[in-house]
This record gives sequence, C-alpha cells and structure tokens, in this order.
Amino acid sequence: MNTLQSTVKHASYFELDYIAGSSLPKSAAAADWFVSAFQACAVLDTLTGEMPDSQSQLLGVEDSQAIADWKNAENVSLIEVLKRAEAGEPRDRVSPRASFEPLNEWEGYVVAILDNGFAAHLLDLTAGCATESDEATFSIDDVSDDDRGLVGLGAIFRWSVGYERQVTGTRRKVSSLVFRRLPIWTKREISESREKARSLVQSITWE
Amino acid sequence: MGPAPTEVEVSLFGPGFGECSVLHIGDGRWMVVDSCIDPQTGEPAALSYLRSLGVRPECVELIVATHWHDDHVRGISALVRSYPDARVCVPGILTNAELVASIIAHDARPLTRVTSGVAEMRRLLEAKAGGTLIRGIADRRLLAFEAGHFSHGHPVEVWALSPCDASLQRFLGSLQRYIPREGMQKQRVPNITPNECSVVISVSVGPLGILLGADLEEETCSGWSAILASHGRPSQLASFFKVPHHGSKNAHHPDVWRHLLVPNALFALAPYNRGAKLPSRQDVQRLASLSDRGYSTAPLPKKAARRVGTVGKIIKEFNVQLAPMTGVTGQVRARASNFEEGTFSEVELFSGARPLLQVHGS
Repeated sequence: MNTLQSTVKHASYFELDYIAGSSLPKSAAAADWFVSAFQACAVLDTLTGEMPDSQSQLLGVEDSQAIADWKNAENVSLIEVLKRAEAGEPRDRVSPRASFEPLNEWEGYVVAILDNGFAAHLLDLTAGCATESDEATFSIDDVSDDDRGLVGLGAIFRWSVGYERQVTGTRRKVSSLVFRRLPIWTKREISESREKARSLVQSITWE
Repeated sequence: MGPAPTEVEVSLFGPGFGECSVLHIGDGRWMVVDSCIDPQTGEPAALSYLRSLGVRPECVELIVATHWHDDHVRGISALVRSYPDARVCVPGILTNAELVASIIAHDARPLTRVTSGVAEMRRLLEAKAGGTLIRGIADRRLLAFEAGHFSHGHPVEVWALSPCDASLQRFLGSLQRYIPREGMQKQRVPNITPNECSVVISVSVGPLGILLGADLEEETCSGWSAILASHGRPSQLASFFKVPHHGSKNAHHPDVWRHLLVPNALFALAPYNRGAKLPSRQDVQRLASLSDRGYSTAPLPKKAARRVGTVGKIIKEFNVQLAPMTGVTGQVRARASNFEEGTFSEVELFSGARPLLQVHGS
C-alpha cells in the first residue's frame, strides 16, 4: 500500500464521507478510484461544514491520475461519483458515458420510520436554503438494497432528481437516494468532549 | 411603531416551525423567550423585530431558552451575542457536565448542514463562557423591578415555574441514552426529550399577568401538575397565555385555565407544520371552548404546495410526498396600557397570523 492509499485508509477512519468503513478498496486497481471518490467526499464536506485536517491535506494531493481524471470528466455528477465509488465499481466502469444531470438536490435526515418507508426533513441545496424547507415521505422501495440497512432515525442522506443520459443519448428521469455511511464514535472524541464540557461548565457562573 | 413607554406588549412569532416571544415590560426595556429563524430573512425573528423598532442592544434585559428543541432555539446564540448585557436563562439541567459533553460531541463535527438545537445550545454556552447564566428551574425569580422603576408605575417580576425536581430527576435517569459511547455509530443528534424539562415563564407587570407555556407537557406528578401544586410560585393570574407545545393534547391541563389564567384569557400559539401537525382540529375545538380570544401565528395548509416544472413532474412520477415546512413568519401582538383592567385590549395580527379557528383554513 503506498502512502496515498495509506492516507486514504487512515482518513476513512476519520469519517464524514459516504464511503467510510466497509468500502475500503480490496485491490490496488480499485484504490485509485477510491482516492477519486474520497476527493469527491472532501469536496462535499467543504459544502457541508467542517472538514478534518486530514481531509484538507488530501485536497492538496494533485499528483493522482485518478483525481485528474475525475476533475476532467464531463457530465458525471458528484452524487453519481459517490454512488459508484460506494458500490466499489472499478474506474473503467465509471466513465462519463452515462451521466446524471441533477435538477434539484436536497440533504435530508430521517425523522420517522413508517410502515413501508420513512419521513424526512430536507434542506434544499439547489435553492441554497439555510434551514429545512420541506418534509418528504419516501417509500422504502426508493432506497437501494445496499442502503436499506442504513435507514433509521437520524440517518442522513442526499436526494437528487434529474436526468440520466444513456450512452445512446436517450434520457430518463431519475430520483436517487444515497445514504451516508456514518462513522463511529472514537474514544478520543468522547474524552475530548468530556474535557471541554467540564471546562466550559466550570467557567460559567451559575445563578 | 413601537409601544409607548407605559404600554406592555407581548408578541408571539412563528413561521410554522419555531416560535419566539418578545415582550416589552416598560420604558423601552425588553425580554425575549426562545428564538426562531425567519425563513424570509434567515435571521432570528426577534432580532429583526427589535431592530425594526430601533431597540438598542442594552435595552434587552433577559433572554430565555426554554429548552433545546430545534423549533425553540434556532438563532438564540445570535441573540445572546447581539444583546451581551442581557441576563440569560437556560434549562437548569445544563449544569450537568455529562449532558454538555454530549452536546459538544454531537456538534464537534456536524454531520449535516442542517443546524440543530444542540448546536445552538453549544454556541450559547460558549458565548457565555467566563460569564453568568441563570438556571431555569421551578419557582425561581429571574428578574424583579420595584414599582417606581418604570414610568407605568407597576412592579415587574419574571419567574421560572418549571421544571420541577421530579422532572429533573427523571431526565437525569434517562440521560444515558443520549450519551455517545465508543464504537457506537454516529447519527444526527437525537431529539432530547421529554418536554417536561421546559422552562415555563411567568411575567407580571402590576395586575397584568403573562404566562409563556414553552413546550411543557403534562406528566404524572410533574409538568403542569407540579406548577399547579407549587406553593412557591407567584399567584398572579395571567391574561395572556402562550399555549404550550403548539396546542397539543399532551400539554393540556384543564386546571391551568381555571387556576392560572383569568376567565376568557387571550391566548396564542405557534403551529407545528411538520409530521403530525399541531394543533389538530380537536385541539382547536378544545382550546376554542376555553376562550374565544385565541390566535395562531400561521396557518396549517390543508394540502402541500405542488412543485412546478420538471422537478415537480419527477417528484410526482416517483410518488414522493413533498410538503413545505415553513412559510411566512406571522406575528400575534397584544398590547395593554390600562393596567387596572388587567387585560390586553389591543390585538394585532401580522403576516400569516390569524384567529385560531382559521388555523386549518377559514
């Protein structure tokens, strides 16, 4: 495993992305693609909030051919990149031949589990809303088999609707739900938060 | 135009998700209870309103965060920063370092761009680091001004009426479920319940009483029962009631209307336009039977607004049920100048605010 792959593996434990945990590459051939996907995740995280230092550093990695390819690829949306990376597809199957044109994207979190689906609150990313704008009810059939185990209260996902353009040039309407693989709490995070809390509570004069 | 120096004003703001009460207690002095974001401006409704009236930052005496739910505290840390001289009251349970550790852990690396009440609480605590916070617990006086302090000539007192000891103990007993543990998978910060830890606020200006019910729900031997049974609370009856928890049945106690409010009290609520929408039609009927002076800050739409264009067609084709959660921030504003009557004679409705009976459509 080279340094870059090692960094990716290390950073995956640092979380935040769609492809953490079990999606680590199983072969060197898949590793390049994993790096591309991770780059996409890092970009995504710049949109979604704080980014750990390790990911910031990764953004400076410009010597990967895979990253260059991804940057140059046309008509491949971020969400499509993430989905395919998550599925562990090798790079040559993630060519821009079939593309996705998003018309609207939301970030959502599950607020209720229903008999045959779930309810979620959505932040309209396309409209640039600062707070949740919509409440949606999805059928469980809208969730891919791989993601169904992730559907639970507080689960976070991205919903995109748009057109998928086939190799033949035909277009079809697409509604895509991708759930985030959330990381686990680490001992370090927990001990740090306890220390900060103790210090913060003690610094306040409570009347 | 702002209230006259001798007038008392209470405003309830709510866009369909979130609520905020803003009170004028005399001579240009104000207090704010809870906070919501105006979807149109993206800033706290209280901040916009007080700025529109030209209220200087030092004129805000008190800010209260009744509890940490998203719909009550969004933007409250911005209020605390904007009004640095104001005394700030938070739920007394926040002195518990383990709960604060959970809040800090969940907010350390946000998993989503959607803000949460937990994030607001962390920012609020950090804004007051090295400073002073008031613990909101039952039967605690938060502010007191003697009769000669204001030109209206009446004493002013602000009290917290809840949570009671039993509620706090019950919450501490359930605290472990919210504490992250090593190896547990992360999720968006859980909605910390129950609402029985909400801080209910009582304000009296001479004979004029205001009761702000937060989200306090009724529990056996706690919640509203505990307030009614307390001998330590002020005995002032309220002529304005901010109905708790969006008018839900769970937050209703009939004796509140008999023993804490004047007959046919003016009341207002902020609806909850999400999930099981509140108030229900039964809630409206129940409340309307208790007083005919009820108002809502916003309507609850009967049907979801439909998306138009290609996006709307795709959503329809994939049979996703999509409904907007917030609309325009409505305001119910009541003013009183004749204190001897002990009631609010003037009620004004702004934006989407309307009589309660029209909350589900006229």
